[in-house]
Amino acid sequence: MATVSTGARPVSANIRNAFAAHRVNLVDIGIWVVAIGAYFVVPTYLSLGTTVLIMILFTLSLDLAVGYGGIDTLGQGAFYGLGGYAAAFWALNVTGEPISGLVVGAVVAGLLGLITGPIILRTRGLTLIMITLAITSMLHEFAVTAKSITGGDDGLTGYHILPVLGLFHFDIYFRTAYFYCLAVLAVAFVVARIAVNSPFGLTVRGIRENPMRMRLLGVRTRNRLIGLFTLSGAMAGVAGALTAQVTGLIGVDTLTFLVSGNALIGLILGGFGRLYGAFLGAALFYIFSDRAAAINPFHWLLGLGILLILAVRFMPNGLTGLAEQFRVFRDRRGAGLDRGGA
Amino acid sequence: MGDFLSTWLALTFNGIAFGMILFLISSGLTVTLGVMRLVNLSHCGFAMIGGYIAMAAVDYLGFGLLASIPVALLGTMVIAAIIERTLFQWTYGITELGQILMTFGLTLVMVALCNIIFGPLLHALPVPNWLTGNFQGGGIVISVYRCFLIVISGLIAVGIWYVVERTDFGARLRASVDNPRMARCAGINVRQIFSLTFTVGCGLAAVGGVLGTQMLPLEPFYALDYLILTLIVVATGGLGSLKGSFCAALLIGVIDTWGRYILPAGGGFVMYAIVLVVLLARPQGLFARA
Amino acid sequence: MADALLQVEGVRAGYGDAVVIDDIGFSLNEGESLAVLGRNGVGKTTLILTLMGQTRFMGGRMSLRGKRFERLPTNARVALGLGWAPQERGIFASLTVEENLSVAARPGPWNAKRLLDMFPALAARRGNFGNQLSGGEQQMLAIARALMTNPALLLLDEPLEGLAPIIVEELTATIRRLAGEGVGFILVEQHTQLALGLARQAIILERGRIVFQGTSQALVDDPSMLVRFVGLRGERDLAPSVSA
Repeated sequence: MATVSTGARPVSANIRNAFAAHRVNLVDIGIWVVAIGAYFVVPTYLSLGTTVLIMILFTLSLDLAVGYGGIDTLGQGAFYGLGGYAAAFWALNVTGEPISGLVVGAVVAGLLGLITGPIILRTRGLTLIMITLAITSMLHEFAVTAKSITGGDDGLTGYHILPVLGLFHFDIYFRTAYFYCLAVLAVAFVVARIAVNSPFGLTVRGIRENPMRMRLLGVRTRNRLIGLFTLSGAMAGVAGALTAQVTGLIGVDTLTFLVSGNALIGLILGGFGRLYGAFLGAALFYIFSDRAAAINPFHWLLGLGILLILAVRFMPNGLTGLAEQFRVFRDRRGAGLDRGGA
Repeated sequence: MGDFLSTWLALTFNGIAFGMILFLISSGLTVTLGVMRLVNLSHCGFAMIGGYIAMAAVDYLGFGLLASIPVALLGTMVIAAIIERTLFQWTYGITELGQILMTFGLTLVMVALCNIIFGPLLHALPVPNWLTGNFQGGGIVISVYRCFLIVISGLIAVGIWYVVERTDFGARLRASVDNPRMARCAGINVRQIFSLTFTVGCGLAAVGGVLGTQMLPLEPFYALDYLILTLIVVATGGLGSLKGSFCAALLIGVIDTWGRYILPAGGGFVMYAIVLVVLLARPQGLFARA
Repeated sequence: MADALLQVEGVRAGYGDAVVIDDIGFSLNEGESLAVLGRNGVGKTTLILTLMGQTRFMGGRMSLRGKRFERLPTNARVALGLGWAPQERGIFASLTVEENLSVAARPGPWNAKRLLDMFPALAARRGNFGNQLSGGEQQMLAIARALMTNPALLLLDEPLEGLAPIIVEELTATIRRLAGEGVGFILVEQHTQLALGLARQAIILERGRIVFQGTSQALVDDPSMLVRFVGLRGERDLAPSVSA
């Protein structure tokens, strides 16, 4: 019987193994080259670039929950918005120091994950989705109503973010912001990589594939899923905090299911359950949506809708994660469906 | 009658009218989910399409509101049948997440097309003269149109009840919801039942869309705005349970109306909180079947 | 030469990628009965489900009265003449007894009145909903419902499982009566001696393949096959007077 414990080996061994498990290859290097290169190649688009980086982080957090944990949530926006409001609050009332703001965002969002996780993970399927939606909507309504705390429809603004590490000032060209977000994304990516390839991560993947068997093996499935959910939430909170800090504003539109929906679309394009799928998909989606929506938002919606339909149906490269899910599910259902389509 | 009481009565009444519209719109979705376990996020889109078809009939053909209902009904059912025969074939046998994303894509297409054809402005369909105004009595003021809504929706609900509980088709439908596999093995053509039910369900949503424009005005994002509400009604009521979605729709309609009166800005909070509690206490919904 | 009622050749089926039954071949003539025996998990139910079209079909041919049906959807097979009373009974909980019968109705000599006459216990509960019946009543309803489809061939999957002895007696008598009226059936049953008493022909499955095919009488006369493949402990497990 396999023993799967997370505390048996020293941390350094875990980290080493995590990287060994997924050998750093050209794609990984390529991504970072592109990210850093963009700074030099398209200096006028750094504002968009910063948004893209933050959204990659957000999509990454969603991938942890959906792609690895199999938790179908539409409520990631709740963590995002909560982290953002927490960071804005921190900057307004305590200090404009950015890194502490990130920590605050992560902790607050993580707490939400820790509290709601046990509740949410008792359900599955449509009920789970509805519950995540209900929680997000509740936060949204609260943010809109409690004007004195959250600024209502106008959101929170008017805070000043101090230079990163006391050295790098935030400027209007988003130069500091870009590298700040890139650095945070890099750290988050490393954390995600370790988590996913660690014994903890492997058990979680096992849970996603075959929950019954994992339970029989004695794995505390729920606790691990809650842990993953919390991590995913904290990461989304960091993304929200970054948004608040970098744009100087946080509003109620962060607390919607559309935010999660966008990230899901990014994952469909890039592929679930492979961390760099988030990079590819989110980058594609947000760059396109920015450019296309500026031209004609409704034509963009039309194209996006058609793209979604076709992507779900045909899924070529980059969507292999979903294709695998489809195949497994269809074969499992094949036992219960008669051939010939009745 | 006391001011307080009459306010609450009026609110409850409006809440019931709202709930009835919600029921009409959600009834189709509840059966779709119950029979085929298909998570169809585009369902509200059919209500929207129905509303817009009626609007076109009113604006370009000079129809009155009531005359536009059959036009909207038929038009929407035709569109629904076509979509079901084509696009929805791709949704069978894929994961829930896949169904959500694909039907969400369809919703976006609907939203975009409605905007391109009809423009982004809000529309409410004109109420016929004989239905305008209010009933007044004993200090209570009730809109005639809402009364009419409740009566019509009630009749439709009774009609639905009759078909489902007292006809052969209804028995086969209930069997398909209970146990689709066994239903096939008893010779029931579940596929056909689903197609028919889906089409009729979209038609009902269309009727709800047409009748409800005073409370749910038409605009391209209609399909998304009320999607959450519809999903909540179905999930709280119990998948596949028409009785459940009827109760849930009324409950949510009333709670939402009261909630917005007490807390105009964040009234929805109360409703979401209650939904959360219900789903946690009974994850399968209030009256779940299979 | 008339077509056999049921002809099965080289059938292979299972779930997902797993093959559960392989190289299955047998035939049955009009009005004949077949017992399917074997230990738990050998594929008896899978065989029945494959006939009904509820498994992943991987190869072979199946025909009913000369008509090939391995590509037909399940409800078309019912129209062709297959009737099924599943192991789990599958009574529709939201339907009354009468409705459970009426949804399965097909033209033919079997109808609700005749079936309610045959099962007075059901007639007494005709207005009860499916989930308001006892185990024995549900089993009767499952068989009655299968008969409502007026099948050419009846598939009975463990109809006597978990029932009180007196109900077992009643149902056994009913099945015997059906056999007497010329209704062909395939019977999967753990009560080996009862099965052999009800069906003329028998096959034994072991790990998804047929290891014995012949008459029930042959198995009664020489139970060594039963000992080997079904786990009986010898002649003592078979009552002396077992005859169809």
